[in-house]
Amino acid sequence: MIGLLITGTFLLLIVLAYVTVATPYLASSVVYFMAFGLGSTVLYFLFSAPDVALTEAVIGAGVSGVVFLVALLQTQTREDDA
Amino acid sequence: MLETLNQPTYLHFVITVGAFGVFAIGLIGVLVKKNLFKIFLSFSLVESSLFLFFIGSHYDVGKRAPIVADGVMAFDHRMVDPVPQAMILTTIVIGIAVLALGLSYVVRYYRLSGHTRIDQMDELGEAS
Amino acid sequence: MSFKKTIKLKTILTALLVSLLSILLLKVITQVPLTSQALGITLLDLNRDLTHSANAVTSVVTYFRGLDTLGEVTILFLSIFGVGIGIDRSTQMKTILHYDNTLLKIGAHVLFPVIILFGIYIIVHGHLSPGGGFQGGVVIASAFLMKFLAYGDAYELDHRILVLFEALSGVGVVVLGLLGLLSGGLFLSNVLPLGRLGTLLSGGIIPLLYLFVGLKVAAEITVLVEYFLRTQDARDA
Repeated sequence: MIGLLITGTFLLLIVLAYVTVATPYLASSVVYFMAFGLGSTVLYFLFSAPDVALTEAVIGAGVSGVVFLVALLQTQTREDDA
Repeated sequence: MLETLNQPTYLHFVITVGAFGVFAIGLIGVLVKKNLFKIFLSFSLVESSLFLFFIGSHYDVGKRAPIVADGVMAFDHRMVDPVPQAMILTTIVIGIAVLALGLSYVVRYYRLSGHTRIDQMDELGEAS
Repeated sequence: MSFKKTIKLKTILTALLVSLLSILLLKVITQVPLTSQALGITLLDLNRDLTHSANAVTSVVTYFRGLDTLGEVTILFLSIFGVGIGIDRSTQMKTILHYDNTLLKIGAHVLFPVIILFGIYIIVHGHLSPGGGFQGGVVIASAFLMKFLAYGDAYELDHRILVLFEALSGVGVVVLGLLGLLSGGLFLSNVLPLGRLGTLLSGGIIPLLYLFVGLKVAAEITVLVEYFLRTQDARDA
Protein backbone atom coordinates (compact mmCIF):
# COMPACT_ATOMS: atom_id res chain seq x y z
CA MET A 1 0.00 0.00 0.00
CA ILE A 2 2.73 2.44 0.96
CA GLY A 3 4.61 1.58 -2.22
CA LEU A 4 1.56 2.58 -4.25
CA LEU A 5 1.26 5.85 -2.31
CA ILE A 6 4.94 6.69 -2.83
CA THR A 7 4.72 5.90 -6.56
CA GLY A 8 1.59 8.02 -6.99
CA THR A 9 3.03 10.96 -5.09
CA PHE A 10 6.22 10.85 -7.15
CA LEU A 11 4.17 10.88 -10.35
CA LEU A 12 2.21 13.88 -9.04
CA LEU A 13 5.47 15.63 -8.15
CA ILE A 14 6.94 15.08 -11.62
CA VAL A 15 3.77 16.47 -13.23
CA LEU A 16 3.81 19.50 -10.90
CA ALA A 17 7.50 20.12 -11.58
CA TYR A 18 6.89 19.99 -15.33
CA VAL A 19 3.94 22.40 -15.06
CA THR A 20 6.01 24.73 -12.86
CA VAL A 21 8.71 24.99 -15.50
CA ALA A 22 6.45 24.96 -18.56
CA THR A 23 3.65 27.39 -17.72
CA PRO A 24 4.10 30.84 -19.28
CA TYR A 25 2.55 32.78 -16.39
CA LEU A 26 4.95 33.46 -13.55
CA ALA A 27 2.35 33.81 -10.79
CA SER A 28 0.76 30.49 -11.70
CA SER A 29 4.14 28.83 -11.76
CA VAL A 30 4.76 30.07 -8.21
CA VAL A 31 1.42 28.57 -7.14
CA TYR A 32 2.36 25.27 -8.81
CA PHE A 33 5.66 25.41 -6.95
CA MET A 34 3.79 25.76 -3.65
CA ALA A 35 1.70 22.73 -4.62
CA PHE A 36 4.98 20.90 -5.30
CA GLY A 37 6.10 21.78 -1.77
CA LEU A 38 2.85 20.37 -0.37
CA GLY A 39 3.31 17.15 -2.34
CA SER A 40 6.86 16.73 -1.08
CA THR A 41 5.51 17.27 2.45
CA VAL A 42 3.29 14.21 1.95
CA LEU A 43 6.27 12.28 0.63
CA TYR A 44 8.47 13.16 3.61
CA PHE A 45 5.67 11.99 5.89
CA LEU A 46 5.49 8.70 4.00
CA PHE A 47 9.28 8.36 4.41
CA SER A 48 8.85 8.48 8.25
CA ALA A 49 10.46 11.89 8.51
CA PRO A 50 7.89 14.04 10.35
CA ASP A 51 10.45 16.68 11.33
CA VAL A 52 11.40 17.33 7.72
CA ALA A 53 7.73 17.19 6.71
CA LEU A 54 6.87 19.93 9.21
CA THR A 55 9.76 22.10 8.01
CA GLU A 56 8.81 21.63 4.37
CA ALA A 57 5.14 22.38 5.11
CA VAL A 58 6.02 25.67 6.77
CA ILE A 59 8.81 26.75 4.41
CA GLY A 60 8.28 25.04 1.07
CA ALA A 61 4.55 25.53 0.89
CA GLY A 62 4.39 28.79 2.82
CA VAL A 63 7.24 31.23 3.20
CA SER A 64 9.04 30.54 -0.10
CA GLY A 65 5.81 31.08 -2.05
CA VAL A 66 5.22 34.36 -0.25
CA VAL A 67 8.79 35.49 -0.93
CA PHE A 68 8.47 34.60 -4.62
CA LEU A 69 5.09 36.31 -5.01
CA VAL A 70 6.21 39.49 -3.27
CA ALA A 71 9.40 39.66 -5.34
CA LEU A 72 7.23 39.15 -8.42
CA LEU A 73 4.88 41.95 -7.35
CA GLN A 74 7.80 44.34 -6.99
CA THR A 75 8.66 43.93 -10.65
CA GLN A 76 6.48 44.36 -13.67
CA THR A 77 7.12 40.98 -15.21
CA ARG A 78 3.97 38.91 -15.40
CA GLU A 79 4.64 36.49 -18.23
CA ASP A 80 7.68 34.48 -19.03
CA ASP A 81 7.79 34.84 -22.80
CA ALA A 82 10.77 32.61 -23.44
CA MET B 1 -0.10 -7.06 -6.67
CA LEU B 2 0.15 -4.34 -4.07
CA GLU B 3 2.73 -6.30 -2.09
CA THR B 4 5.17 -6.24 -5.00
CA LEU B 5 5.13 -2.44 -4.79
CA ASN B 6 6.53 -2.70 -1.26
CA GLN B 7 9.70 -4.55 -2.31
CA PRO B 8 12.85 -2.59 -1.32
CA THR B 9 14.39 -2.87 -4.80
CA TYR B 10 11.23 -1.50 -6.44
CA LEU B 11 10.95 1.33 -3.90
CA HIS B 12 14.57 2.36 -4.38
CA PHE B 13 14.03 2.29 -8.14
CA VAL B 14 10.95 4.54 -7.82
CA ILE B 15 12.71 6.97 -5.47
CA THR B 16 15.82 7.19 -7.66
CA VAL B 17 13.93 7.60 -10.94
CA GLY B 18 11.37 10.02 -9.48
CA ALA B 19 13.96 12.24 -7.82
CA PHE B 20 16.06 12.32 -10.98
CA GLY B 21 12.98 13.09 -13.04
CA VAL B 22 12.37 16.19 -10.95
CA PHE B 23 16.12 16.93 -11.10
CA ALA B 24 16.16 16.74 -14.90
CA ILE B 25 13.08 18.96 -15.25
CA GLY B 26 14.65 21.54 -12.96
CA LEU B 27 17.96 21.37 -14.84
CA ILE B 28 16.19 21.91 -18.17
CA GLY B 29 14.41 24.90 -16.62
CA VAL B 30 17.70 26.39 -15.43
CA LEU B 31 19.32 25.91 -18.83
CA VAL B 32 16.47 26.84 -21.19
CA LYS B 33 14.37 29.51 -19.45
CA LYS B 34 15.23 33.17 -19.90
CA ASN B 35 13.39 34.78 -17.02
CA LEU B 36 15.31 35.09 -13.75
CA PHE B 37 12.26 34.17 -11.65
CA LYS B 38 11.80 30.96 -13.65
CA ILE B 39 15.47 30.15 -13.23
CA PHE B 40 15.26 30.54 -9.46
CA LEU B 41 12.09 28.41 -9.35
CA SER B 42 13.95 25.71 -11.27
CA PHE B 43 16.87 25.95 -8.85
CA SER B 44 14.43 25.31 -6.02
CA LEU B 45 13.04 22.29 -7.86
CA VAL B 46 16.54 20.83 -8.25
CA GLU B 47 17.19 21.44 -4.56
CA SER B 48 13.93 19.74 -3.56
CA SER B 49 14.70 16.71 -5.72
CA LEU B 50 18.02 16.25 -3.95
CA PHE B 51 16.30 16.45 -0.55
CA LEU B 52 13.74 13.86 -1.66
CA PHE B 53 16.46 11.50 -2.86
CA PHE B 54 18.50 11.92 0.28
CA ILE B 55 15.59 11.20 2.64
CA GLY B 56 14.06 8.51 0.44
CA SER B 57 17.24 6.48 -0.02
CA HIS B 58 17.37 5.90 3.75
CA TYR B 59 13.81 4.57 3.99
CA ASP B 60 12.57 1.00 4.02
CA VAL B 61 9.03 -0.29 4.39
CA GLY B 62 8.04 -0.74 8.05
CA LYS B 63 10.59 1.65 9.53
CA ARG B 64 9.33 4.10 12.12
CA ALA B 65 10.19 7.71 12.71
CA PRO B 66 13.09 8.04 15.19
CA ILE B 67 10.87 9.36 17.98
CA VAL B 68 9.96 7.69 21.26
CA ALA B 69 6.23 8.31 21.62
CA ASP B 70 2.84 6.65 21.29
CA GLY B 71 3.64 3.24 22.77
CA VAL B 72 7.18 3.00 21.37
CA MET B 73 9.16 2.90 24.56
CA ALA B 74 12.80 2.75 23.45
CA PHE B 75 15.10 3.42 20.51
CA ASP B 76 15.58 0.28 18.46
CA HIS B 77 16.91 -0.70 15.06
CA ARG B 78 13.55 -0.55 13.32
CA MET B 79 13.84 3.22 13.14
CA VAL B 80 14.91 5.42 10.26
CA ASP B 81 18.44 6.83 10.30
CA PRO B 82 18.14 10.25 11.99
CA VAL B 83 21.31 11.78 10.49
CA PRO B 84 20.04 12.55 6.94
CA GLN B 85 16.82 13.95 8.37
CA ALA B 86 18.78 16.32 10.60
CA MET B 87 20.98 17.39 7.69
CA ILE B 88 18.03 18.03 5.37
CA LEU B 89 16.19 19.87 8.14
CA THR B 90 18.93 22.48 8.35
CA THR B 91 19.44 22.52 4.58
CA ILE B 92 15.80 23.46 3.89
CA VAL B 93 16.09 26.50 6.16
CA ILE B 94 19.37 27.51 4.51
CA GLY B 95 17.68 27.03 1.13
CA ILE B 96 14.94 29.58 1.80
CA ALA B 97 17.49 32.11 3.08
CA VAL B 98 19.73 31.74 0.02
CA LEU B 99 16.69 31.86 -2.27
CA ALA B 100 15.60 35.12 -0.65
CA LEU B 101 19.13 36.48 -1.15
CA GLY B 102 18.98 35.66 -4.86
CA LEU B 103 15.48 37.09 -5.29
CA SER B 104 16.49 40.32 -3.57
CA TYR B 105 19.26 40.72 -6.15
CA VAL B 106 16.74 40.00 -8.93
CA VAL B 107 14.54 42.82 -7.62
CA ARG B 108 17.57 45.09 -7.36
CA TYR B 109 18.55 44.24 -10.94
CA TYR B 110 15.02 45.04 -12.10
CA ARG B 111 15.27 48.49 -10.52
CA LEU B 112 18.55 49.15 -12.26
CA SER B 113 17.65 47.87 -15.72
CA GLY B 114 13.87 47.51 -16.03
CA HIS B 115 13.74 43.84 -17.01
CA THR B 116 14.46 40.40 -15.54
CA ARG B 117 15.60 38.52 -18.63
CA ILE B 118 19.06 37.07 -18.97
CA ASP B 119 19.15 37.28 -22.78
CA GLN B 120 18.82 41.06 -22.60
CA MET B 121 21.58 41.54 -20.04
CA ASP B 122 24.08 43.83 -21.75
CA GLU B 123 25.67 45.78 -18.92
CA LEU B 124 29.20 44.96 -20.07
CA GLY B 125 28.41 45.74 -23.71
CA GLU B 126 29.41 42.44 -25.30
CA ALA B 127 26.56 42.40 -27.81
CA SER B 128 27.27 45.78 -29.38
CA MET C 1 12.98 32.50 -39.20
CA SER C 2 16.56 31.48 -38.60
CA PHE C 3 16.30 32.87 -35.07
CA LYS C 4 13.47 30.45 -34.36
CA LYS C 5 15.51 27.57 -35.75
CA THR C 6 18.50 28.23 -33.50
CA ILE C 7 16.27 28.30 -30.42
CA LYS C 8 14.84 24.92 -31.37
CA LEU C 9 18.32 23.47 -31.94
CA LYS C 10 19.42 24.83 -28.59
CA THR C 11 16.46 23.24 -26.84
CA ILE C 12 17.16 19.88 -28.44
CA LEU C 13 20.82 20.09 -27.48
CA THR C 14 19.89 20.98 -23.91
CA ALA C 15 17.49 18.04 -23.70
CA LEU C 16 20.23 15.73 -25.03
CA LEU C 17 22.73 17.09 -22.52
CA VAL C 18 20.32 16.73 -19.62
CA SER C 19 19.33 13.20 -20.57
CA LEU C 20 22.99 12.20 -20.93
CA LEU C 21 23.76 13.68 -17.51
CA SER C 22 20.75 11.95 -15.97
CA ILE C 23 21.72 8.59 -17.45
CA LEU C 24 25.27 8.94 -16.14
CA LEU C 25 24.04 9.97 -12.69
CA LEU C 26 21.50 7.14 -12.59
CA LYS C 27 24.23 4.68 -13.53
CA VAL C 28 26.43 5.90 -10.69
CA ILE C 29 23.57 5.99 -8.19
CA THR C 30 22.28 2.50 -8.96
CA GLN C 31 25.75 1.04 -8.43
CA VAL C 32 25.85 2.35 -4.88
CA PRO C 33 24.66 -0.45 -2.56
CA LEU C 34 21.56 0.00 -0.46
CA THR C 35 22.40 2.18 2.49
CA SER C 36 23.86 0.43 5.48
CA GLN C 37 22.70 2.07 8.67
CA ALA C 38 25.88 1.87 10.74
CA LEU C 39 26.11 5.52 11.76
CA GLY C 40 22.39 5.81 12.44
CA ILE C 41 22.34 2.68 14.62
CA THR C 42 25.33 3.93 16.58
CA LEU C 43 23.70 7.30 17.13
CA LEU C 44 20.39 5.73 18.15
CA ASP C 45 22.24 3.58 20.70
CA LEU C 46 24.17 6.59 21.98
CA ASN C 47 21.00 8.63 22.13
CA ARG C 48 19.48 6.21 24.64
CA ASP C 49 22.20 6.92 27.20
CA LEU C 50 23.69 10.30 26.37
CA THR C 51 20.89 12.77 25.75
CA HIS C 52 17.55 11.40 27.07
CA SER C 53 15.78 13.21 24.27
CA ALA C 54 12.72 11.43 22.86
CA ASN C 55 13.30 12.78 19.36
CA ALA C 56 16.51 11.42 17.84
CA VAL C 57 16.51 13.98 15.02
CA THR C 58 16.54 16.79 17.56
CA SER C 59 19.45 15.28 19.45
CA VAL C 60 21.39 14.86 16.22
CA VAL C 61 20.73 18.48 15.22
CA THR C 62 21.53 20.09 18.56
CA TYR C 63 23.85 17.68 20.35
CA PHE C 64 25.83 15.36 18.06
CA ARG C 65 26.09 17.99 15.35
CA GLY C 66 25.57 21.14 17.38
CA LEU C 67 28.54 22.87 15.80
CA ASP C 68 26.95 22.40 12.35
CA THR C 69 23.80 24.06 13.65
CA LEU C 70 25.85 27.01 14.85
CA GLY C 71 27.37 27.35 11.37
CA GLU C 72 23.95 26.99 9.79
CA VAL C 73 22.51 29.81 11.89
CA THR C 74 25.52 31.90 10.85
CA ILE C 75 24.75 31.24 7.18
CA LEU C 76 21.14 32.25 7.80
CA PHE C 77 22.29 35.50 9.40
CA LEU C 78 24.66 36.24 6.51
CA SER C 79 21.90 35.64 3.96
CA ILE C 80 19.55 38.05 5.71
CA PHE C 81 22.43 40.53 5.86
CA GLY C 82 22.85 40.17 2.09
CA VAL C 83 19.11 40.68 1.55
CA GLY C 84 19.33 43.86 3.62
CA ILE C 85 22.10 45.10 1.36
CA GLY C 86 20.38 44.00 -1.83
CA ILE C 87 17.06 45.69 -1.18
CA ASP C 88 17.68 49.39 -0.86
CA ARG C 89 15.88 50.93 2.06
CA SER C 90 14.77 54.46 1.42
CA THR C 91 12.57 56.67 3.56
CA GLN C 92 9.59 56.31 1.21
CA MET C 93 8.67 52.76 2.06
CA LYS C 94 5.25 51.26 1.81
CA THR C 95 3.79 47.82 2.17
CA ILE C 96 2.85 46.05 -1.01
CA LEU C 97 0.32 43.22 -0.95
CA HIS C 98 -2.02 45.03 1.42
CA TYR C 99 -5.78 45.47 1.20
CA ASP C 100 -7.71 47.51 3.73
CA ASN C 101 -10.18 45.03 5.17
CA THR C 102 -11.78 45.17 8.61
CA LEU C 103 -12.52 41.46 8.80
CA LEU C 104 -8.91 40.66 7.99
CA LYS C 105 -7.72 43.05 10.70
CA ILE C 106 -9.98 41.56 13.37
CA GLY C 107 -9.03 38.03 12.34
CA ALA C 108 -5.34 38.84 12.46
CA HIS C 109 -5.76 40.50 15.84
CA VAL C 110 -7.46 37.41 17.28
CA LEU C 111 -5.21 34.83 15.65
CA PHE C 112 -1.86 36.53 16.30
CA PRO C 113 -1.33 35.36 19.93
CA VAL C 114 -2.63 31.88 19.08
CA ILE C 115 -0.09 31.44 16.29
CA ILE C 116 2.71 32.78 18.49
CA LEU C 117 1.69 30.31 21.20
CA PHE C 118 1.66 27.47 18.69
CA GLY C 119 5.16 28.39 17.53
CA ILE C 120 6.42 28.46 21.11
CA TYR C 121 4.78 25.08 21.71
CA ILE C 122 6.55 23.60 18.68
CA ILE C 123 9.90 25.02 19.84
CA VAL C 124 9.57 23.91 23.49
CA HIS C 125 8.40 20.39 22.58
CA GLY C 126 11.16 19.95 20.02
CA HIS C 127 12.83 17.15 22.00
CA LEU C 128 9.56 15.26 22.54
CA SER C 129 7.68 15.43 19.26
CA PRO C 130 8.31 16.44 15.64
CA GLY C 131 9.27 20.05 15.50
CA GLY C 132 11.86 22.27 17.04
CA GLY C 133 13.59 25.58 16.68
CA PHE C 134 13.57 25.92 12.91
CA GLN C 135 9.91 25.00 12.38
CA GLY C 136 8.61 26.91 15.40
CA GLY C 137 10.67 29.96 14.49
CA VAL C 138 9.19 30.06 11.01
CA VAL C 139 5.66 29.63 12.47
CA ILE C 140 6.26 32.66 14.71
CA ALA C 141 7.52 34.61 11.71
CA SER C 142 4.37 33.66 9.80
CA ALA C 143 2.29 35.29 12.57
CA PHE C 144 4.15 38.54 11.91
CA LEU C 145 3.65 38.03 8.17
CA MET C 146 -0.11 37.87 8.80
CA LYS C 147 0.05 41.14 10.74
CA PHE C 148 1.91 42.79 7.87
CA LEU C 149 -0.64 41.58 5.33
CA ALA C 150 -3.61 42.69 7.40
CA TYR C 151 -2.46 46.05 8.75
CA GLY C 152 -0.06 47.26 6.09
CA ASP C 153 1.80 50.42 6.95
CA ALA C 154 -0.06 50.84 10.25
CA TYR C 155 1.83 47.96 11.86
CA GLU C 156 5.20 49.06 13.18
CA LEU C 157 7.82 46.53 14.24
CA ASP C 158 10.19 47.50 17.01
CA HIS C 159 13.56 46.66 15.54
CA ARG C 160 15.43 47.17 18.82
CA ILE C 161 13.57 44.23 20.39
CA LEU C 162 14.21 42.08 17.32
CA VAL C 163 17.92 42.90 17.36
CA LEU C 164 18.02 42.19 21.09
CA PHE C 165 16.38 38.76 20.64
CA GLU C 166 18.61 37.90 17.69
CA ALA C 167 21.85 38.93 19.38
CA LEU C 168 21.01 37.41 22.77
CA SER C 169 20.05 34.06 21.27
CA GLY C 170 23.23 33.97 19.18
CA VAL C 171 25.31 34.79 22.24
CA GLY C 172 23.33 32.19 24.21
CA VAL C 173 24.29 29.35 21.86
CA VAL C 174 27.97 30.28 22.04
CA VAL C 175 27.90 30.70 25.84
CA LEU C 176 26.25 27.28 26.24
CA GLY C 177 28.94 25.79 24.03
CA LEU C 178 31.71 27.46 26.01
CA LEU C 179 30.16 26.27 29.29
CA GLY C 180 30.29 22.76 27.91
CA LEU C 181 33.90 23.32 26.88
CA LEU C 182 34.78 24.45 30.40
CA SER C 183 33.01 21.65 32.24
CA GLY C 184 33.12 18.65 29.94
CA GLY C 185 36.04 19.42 27.69
CA LEU C 186 33.91 19.41 24.53
CA PHE C 187 32.19 22.30 22.81
CA LEU C 188 28.41 22.05 23.42
CA SER C 189 28.72 19.09 25.79
CA ASN C 190 25.98 18.68 28.37
CA VAL C 191 26.13 20.74 31.58
CA LEU C 192 22.58 20.23 32.88
CA PRO C 193 20.89 17.20 34.52
CA LEU C 194 19.43 14.86 31.93
CA GLY C 195 16.03 14.16 33.49
CA ARG C 196 13.65 11.34 32.64
CA LEU C 197 13.04 10.37 29.03
CA GLY C 198 9.78 11.73 27.69
CA THR C 199 9.19 14.55 30.15
CA LEU C 200 9.33 18.25 29.32
CA LEU C 201 12.39 18.95 31.49
CA SER C 202 14.65 16.34 29.96
CA GLY C 203 17.49 16.22 27.50
CA GLY C 204 19.94 18.48 29.31
CA ILE C 205 20.87 21.52 27.24
CA ILE C 206 18.87 20.42 24.16
CA PRO C 207 15.61 22.35 24.91
CA LEU C 208 17.56 25.46 25.89
CA LEU C 209 19.68 25.28 22.74
CA TYR C 210 16.65 24.77 20.53
CA LEU C 211 14.90 27.70 22.24
CA PHE C 212 17.83 29.95 21.31
CA VAL C 213 17.86 28.63 17.74
CA GLY C 214 14.09 29.14 17.49
CA LEU C 215 14.25 32.76 18.68
CA LYS C 216 17.07 33.49 16.26
CA VAL C 217 15.27 31.92 13.30
CA ALA C 218 12.02 33.71 14.21
CA ALA C 219 13.73 37.10 14.35
CA GLU C 220 15.62 36.52 11.10
CA ILE C 221 12.68 35.26 9.04
CA THR C 222 10.53 38.13 10.37
CA VAL C 223 13.11 40.66 9.23
CA LEU C 224 13.40 38.85 5.88
CA VAL C 225 9.64 39.02 5.28
CA GLU C 226 9.57 42.67 6.31
CA TYR C 227 12.41 43.50 3.91
CA PHE C 228 10.51 41.89 1.07
CA LEU C 229 7.08 43.30 1.90
CA ARG C 230 8.04 46.82 2.81
CA THR C 231 10.06 48.43 0.07
CA GLN C 232 9.91 51.27 -2.29
CA ASP C 233 7.53 50.10 -4.99
CA ALA C 234 9.58 49.49 -8.11
CA ARG C 235 6.56 49.92 -10.36
CA ASP C 236 6.33 53.60 -9.50
CA ALA C 237 9.97 54.33 -10.17
